[in-house]
Amino acid sequence: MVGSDRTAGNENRKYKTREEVGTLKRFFIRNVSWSTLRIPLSLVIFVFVWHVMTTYKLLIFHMVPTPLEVLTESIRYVPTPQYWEHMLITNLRVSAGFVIAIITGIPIGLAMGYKRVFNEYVFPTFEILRPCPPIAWLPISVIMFPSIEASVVFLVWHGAIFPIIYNTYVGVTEIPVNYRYAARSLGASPKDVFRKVILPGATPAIFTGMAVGMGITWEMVVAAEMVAGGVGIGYMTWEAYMFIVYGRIILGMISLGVCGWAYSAAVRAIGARVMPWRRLF
Amino acid sequence: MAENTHAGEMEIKGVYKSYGIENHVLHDVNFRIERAKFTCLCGPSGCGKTTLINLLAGYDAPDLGEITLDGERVKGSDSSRLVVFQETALFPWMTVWENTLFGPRVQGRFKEETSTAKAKELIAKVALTGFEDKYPIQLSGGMQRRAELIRALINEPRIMLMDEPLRGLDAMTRQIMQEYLIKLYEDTRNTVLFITAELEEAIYLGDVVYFLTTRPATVKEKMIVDLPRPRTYKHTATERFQELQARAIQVVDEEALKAFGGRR
Repeated sequence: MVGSDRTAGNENRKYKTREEVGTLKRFFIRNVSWSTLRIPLSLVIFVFVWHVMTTYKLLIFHMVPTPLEVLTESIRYVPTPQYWEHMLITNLRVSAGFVIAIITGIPIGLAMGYKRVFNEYVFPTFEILRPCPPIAWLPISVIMFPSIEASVVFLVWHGAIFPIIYNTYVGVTEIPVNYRYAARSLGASPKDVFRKVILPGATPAIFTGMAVGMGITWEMVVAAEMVAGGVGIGYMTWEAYMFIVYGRIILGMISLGVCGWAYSAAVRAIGARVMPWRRLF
Repeated sequence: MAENTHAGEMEIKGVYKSYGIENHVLHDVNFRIERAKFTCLCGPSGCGKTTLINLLAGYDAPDLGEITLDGERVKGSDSSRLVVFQETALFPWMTVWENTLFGPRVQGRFKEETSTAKAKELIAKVALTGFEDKYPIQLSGGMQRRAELIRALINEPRIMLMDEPLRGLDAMTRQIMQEYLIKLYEDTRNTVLFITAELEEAIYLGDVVYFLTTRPATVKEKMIVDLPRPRTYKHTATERFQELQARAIQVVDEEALKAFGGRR
């Protein structure tokens, strides 16, 4: 074995042994490469460019807050109860709208895929409404609903439900017909076919719908809050612009980004638990 | 040879089937699937073999003609005739174990000791022991087909309908699977209908081979394979096999020529 041979003439060997290299250096060699360094490096470069553009007031960035301003404003504002009130309200609105969208949307999607007659009644209206961007529903939502909460949750619900219904519907129709044939032959009643074939078969598509819908809910809540106002991260961001506390605008953006990411990650994680057969290769 | 009390036989008389005016698939199909025998159906691709299986299994009904199982007309699908599909229809969201026990569970015939014992025995027969908790996606193509076989077999169907189950497998896997099929058949002596486009496979595996014409399909010829059982690969080297194969090629050639517009 190379290295353990201590007889004469081994000064020429190229490779050092484990003991000769040392723990710290081994850690670096194993875990640190140019590839892994580039990730934090890219963030550093981004912040650096941001700092330069804003501090020296270049081009369109002359009013944009510097990283330092954002940091100081965050340190000052995040511990306040107002910030967390905004966070709580926005999260509640998103959660409520999303949960209602799941409860109402998935059964509709399943029915559309499974029952032809139901589909023939529902699909035309659904397809006409779908292309209209959810944000365009804002004015009508304000008209329809008496309270701001209701209209915001409605918009969140509306944003999430279309992808959920559509993906669920597609999920059901794309199940290969042989699965249903096999289940019927093996003696499954229609109820069994639905519970043990259709539902699990459509689950991957349902989760896709949920993941897409989840992304849209955050866009909706921000737009709704900026217009309808009162409270919430979206409103806070807009208010920061009105009150010329520009660092808080960026804080609002970061808060929304983090929350949106967390919720999407949660949906994905739940999906991975529910569908163990999907990630095994 | 085990005594098989539940093997059925099917009679197909004068079956016609079309989908719409343009699509005449089956034209006066007549044949028998004899009890406890391995019947093969050979025909060019697209000639209507899958349609025929759908009619036999009860997923669809013929426009004209009669399909009977042990004398009774076939109505709808149930576990007396189970299908092994072309591209496997194993449920991807269930493990091998759950797939295998799907039939007994769903029919309410699941008894803890007997059903699990039977499942274990069948799993061992197709050499899938140790893979009970794997999902189909974790299995190779051959293993998936074997799992699908035992999912059907555990229900003791009167007829096993196999729609080109070895299609798409590489040559080595295919040969191993053919040997499994022969061994399974000779152990259980179920009635089997085996659809394939490979002539050699049909003669190697079967007791009787029916040749179908191109669309609209009818039975062109019946060939009795009198090779001895237990069947081994050595039988494919015998003179009798060569004779049968030559005759088969002749029959199919005429049809293939027609399919390609009568020109070489």
